[in-house]
Amino acid sequence: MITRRFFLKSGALAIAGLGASLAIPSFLEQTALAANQNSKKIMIVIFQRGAADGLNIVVPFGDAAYYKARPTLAIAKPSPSDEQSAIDLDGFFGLHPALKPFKPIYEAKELAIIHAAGSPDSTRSHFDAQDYMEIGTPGIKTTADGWLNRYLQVHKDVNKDQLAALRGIAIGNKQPRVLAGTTPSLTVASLNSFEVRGGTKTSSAFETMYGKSLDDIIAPAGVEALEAMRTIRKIRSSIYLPSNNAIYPNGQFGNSLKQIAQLIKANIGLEIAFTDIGGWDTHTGQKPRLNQLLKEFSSGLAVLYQDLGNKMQEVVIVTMSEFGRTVRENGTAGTDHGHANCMFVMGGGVKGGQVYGKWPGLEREQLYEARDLALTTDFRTVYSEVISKHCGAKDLTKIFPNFQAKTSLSILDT
Amino acid sequence: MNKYFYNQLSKVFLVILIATALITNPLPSYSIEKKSFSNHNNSLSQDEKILHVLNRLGYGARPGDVEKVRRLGIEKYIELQLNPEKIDDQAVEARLKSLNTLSMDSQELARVYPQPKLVNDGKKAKLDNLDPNSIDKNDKKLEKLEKLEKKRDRLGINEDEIMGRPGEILIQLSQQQILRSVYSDRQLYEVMVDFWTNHFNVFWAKQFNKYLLTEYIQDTIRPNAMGNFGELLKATAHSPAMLVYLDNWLSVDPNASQKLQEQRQQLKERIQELRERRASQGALNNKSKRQVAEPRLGNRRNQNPMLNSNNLPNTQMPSPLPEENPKIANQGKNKNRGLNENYARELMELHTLGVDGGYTQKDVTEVARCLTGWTIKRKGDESAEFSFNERMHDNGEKTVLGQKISVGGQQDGEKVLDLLLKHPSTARFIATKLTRRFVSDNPPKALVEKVAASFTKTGGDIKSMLRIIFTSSEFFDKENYQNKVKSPLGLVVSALRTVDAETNAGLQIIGALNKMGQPLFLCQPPTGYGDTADKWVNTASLVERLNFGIALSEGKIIGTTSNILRNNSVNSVDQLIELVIRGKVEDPTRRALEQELNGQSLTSDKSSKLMGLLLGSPEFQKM
Repeated sequence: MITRRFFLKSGALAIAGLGASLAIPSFLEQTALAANQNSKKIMIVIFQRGAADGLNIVVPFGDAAYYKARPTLAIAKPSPSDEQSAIDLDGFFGLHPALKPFKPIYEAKELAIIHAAGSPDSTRSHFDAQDYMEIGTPGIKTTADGWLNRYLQVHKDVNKDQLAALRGIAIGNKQPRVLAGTTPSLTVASLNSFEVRGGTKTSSAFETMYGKSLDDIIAPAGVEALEAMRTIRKIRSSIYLPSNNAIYPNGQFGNSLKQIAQLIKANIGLEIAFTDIGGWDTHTGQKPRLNQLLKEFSSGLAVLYQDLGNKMQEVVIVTMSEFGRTVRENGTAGTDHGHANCMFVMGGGVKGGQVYGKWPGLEREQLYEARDLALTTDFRTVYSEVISKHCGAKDLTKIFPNFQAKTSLSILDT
Repeated sequence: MNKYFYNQLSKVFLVILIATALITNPLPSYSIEKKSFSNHNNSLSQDEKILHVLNRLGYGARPGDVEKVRRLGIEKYIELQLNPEKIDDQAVEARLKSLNTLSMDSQELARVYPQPKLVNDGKKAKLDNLDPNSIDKNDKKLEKLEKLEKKRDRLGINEDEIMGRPGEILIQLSQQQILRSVYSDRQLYEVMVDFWTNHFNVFWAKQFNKYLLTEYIQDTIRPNAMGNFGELLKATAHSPAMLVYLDNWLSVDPNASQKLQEQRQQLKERIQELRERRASQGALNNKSKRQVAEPRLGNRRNQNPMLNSNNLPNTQMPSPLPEENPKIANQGKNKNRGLNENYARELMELHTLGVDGGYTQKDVTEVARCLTGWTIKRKGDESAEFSFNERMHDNGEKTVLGQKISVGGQQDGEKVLDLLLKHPSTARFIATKLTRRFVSDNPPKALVEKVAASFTKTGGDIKSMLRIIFTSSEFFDKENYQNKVKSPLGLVVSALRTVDAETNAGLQIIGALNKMGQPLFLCQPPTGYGDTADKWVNTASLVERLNFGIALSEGKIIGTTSNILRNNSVNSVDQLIELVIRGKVEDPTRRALEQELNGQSLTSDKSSKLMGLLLGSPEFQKM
């Protein structure tokens, strides 16, 4: 029964998809799907909103001050007999036990970690700090666009015959500030929801309206949107089956990652994908919450890695969070707003299996403003390296204005 | 709607709204090069002029508006709009009656819409019922609970009085703007309120602006929206909402911390002296000793926000004293401990001179110094009023834009505002923004100069500037007809007006604005929402625009019904176009309607469907 219904449903979808493709008006006779995209470099950016506790995510178990500051919250030193202990990485750092899915990727040297990294601005406001990381100019609020948008603008291959809006896609309810700007991009809550009420019939009326309109203020965006919708509709018309037996975790994050994989495999010319995962603001009851969140976070990303398989050669995943959390645990079994954090970089071309960055130490005099992990790597240093070495962007000055990476971490080959 | 359901819906909605809206910002867009259509001649027809006036001075035509303007004459209509006090607006006021938060001051709002953590979900009872013997003195939870309780007491929170969460305040504030924009006959006034709300943007969700913004909109922006720019500027500069939003309330003379420590030391010595004297009289036990010492500090709390936040361990707000607040210590790159330049910078960049207005970083610092001490007096933690604090003020000599400022005290800041108001860059900057809003994304230079001259001549009279714009030849130039893209608010409100909607401006409508990229009062950056097409034209939000029009036409918005098709018989596509667009549409738009109609007759369902398409047409996105 179930199988049959399933078949009928997907069959109907397939036919609907076919119908749509037969009815393509001339102006839409293009290409996005047909265009044979050569191996394209893709960066996936993951924002952990709410300020993740980097010190319990990549645990500095070799730093005695860590255990002094966190009598109840600290993750125990690696111990084979203790499932709740840190997973040893290099004798000094260890992964939170819930990050087990990361271990094999780290061992395969395709996962790198940068610790004590983040935005140099001192703000401890979530809003301001997220903003700064997204506009890419910490301390300057008035920057109009996001740095991923500037990337799309600067790093444009004019020869590519493709839908501009599909170069950068965010999965989420609202366009993230990091993608905001003058270069077209797309934000969809889900591939299914990117649709006009009334479906193909209505959108075909709008295609008529916008496609031949003489208006040059809004019609071009309309054409772009309707074309993108057509492409997305096609992608979702076939049931997506992840490769390599990958099974995405339930929940919004896993779902978003699955759709990113779907978009990547559809070869629509995607260059930048973005999604976020919230809930990291663990002022209270941190232990169970972080445990659960990290499970979702790591299994999601590990499954994406598994699903993309060889395609990971073309993909780099980078994670960030607006700031870290206090070294000292607070009185409500949690941690408060801090400063530096850890970042993960995953991909085929990544020189993984290493924790990068200078460790500033956790003794009181080593802390930032006497309370937080000091910052030794600017998040822009990490992204600069990824977008220059992996994506091939040449001019970074427009993407990160007034920023010059002091050091190269060499997280990536070449 | 059932109240419980409404509340539930509003909670769910708020989670989505806050979670998604706060972190993001205006949308991606297209860089657009303006190209004008070739026209037969350069003047607009009378009907086009009427539509133009209704679109630009207001949020489009409601049924009957075109006829009204025709009867009155365009010039008279404009003059009437310039004098909103002459337009009766009782009908719209009646619609706002159910929005109870509008008549509450910030203190009351904080009391009846407390932060969730202050709501007594059984915690208070637990504290009262605790066995004193079982209390672990080191238990931080208990400490926190006590702090929360103290805060509740300070706010005067009474369980029976609580009406909801702070988000309800935002919903009602948004509703009042939408309802006023849709129904008020003072259309230009509402447009100007929106204009200045964005020019002097304050982000609702920052700290206790949740409670201050209602007052800010109603008492700071609205009374001045058609008055004098200088008064408006000064009102915002003195408003607690702006002082909090742009951090000026925290800005302290770099040397003040030392001064303050000295004063504190003196205070301590005096208290000690008093204690000793009383003790020597042998008349006091421990308890009353405390009572002697503390009221002195207590009284000072009310006068001095610095002492206030230092002495109240539970305050959510950080101390403005640099040595106690690392965040502040770090601002100004350690050179200027305690000085916060945020407001000073935006005051010049966004409120007066404009980014190219001819000021330097040195001017920013000097203006910040002039404005030190412009702070707030807290009222029950979550609300506040303007207060000047001499101790925070830098009374040294300052030079702003080449002029020495040494009046001293609060007058230093007032002097800066006067200086900025008289600066030619301010006249030009405001003139440019107004001309951009009302005439074109590329404001005609000659007109900008005329408007700027009016600013200078009248000392910033807003009406005079607007009058020059609306009576200019540029305003009615064919090139500037239908050449602006409606903001999401403009689109939503004009659609509601067009379809003659009866609406409660409910959550679906507020949510639609959010999805289109313009959640009201939640613009985080100080720039406010933009006025140009490039800010609003983008793929994702365009799809939301299309969907909003369809949902509205098909009656899918809860709390909103459209009456236009009920009140008018529509027998042809042309009639429908006349009803919705009221002007010409391009061929493709008409063809799309005919394609949809597919030779069938125009039933009411079909008419709704076609109306939805028309609300999504390129023509309807423009004004």
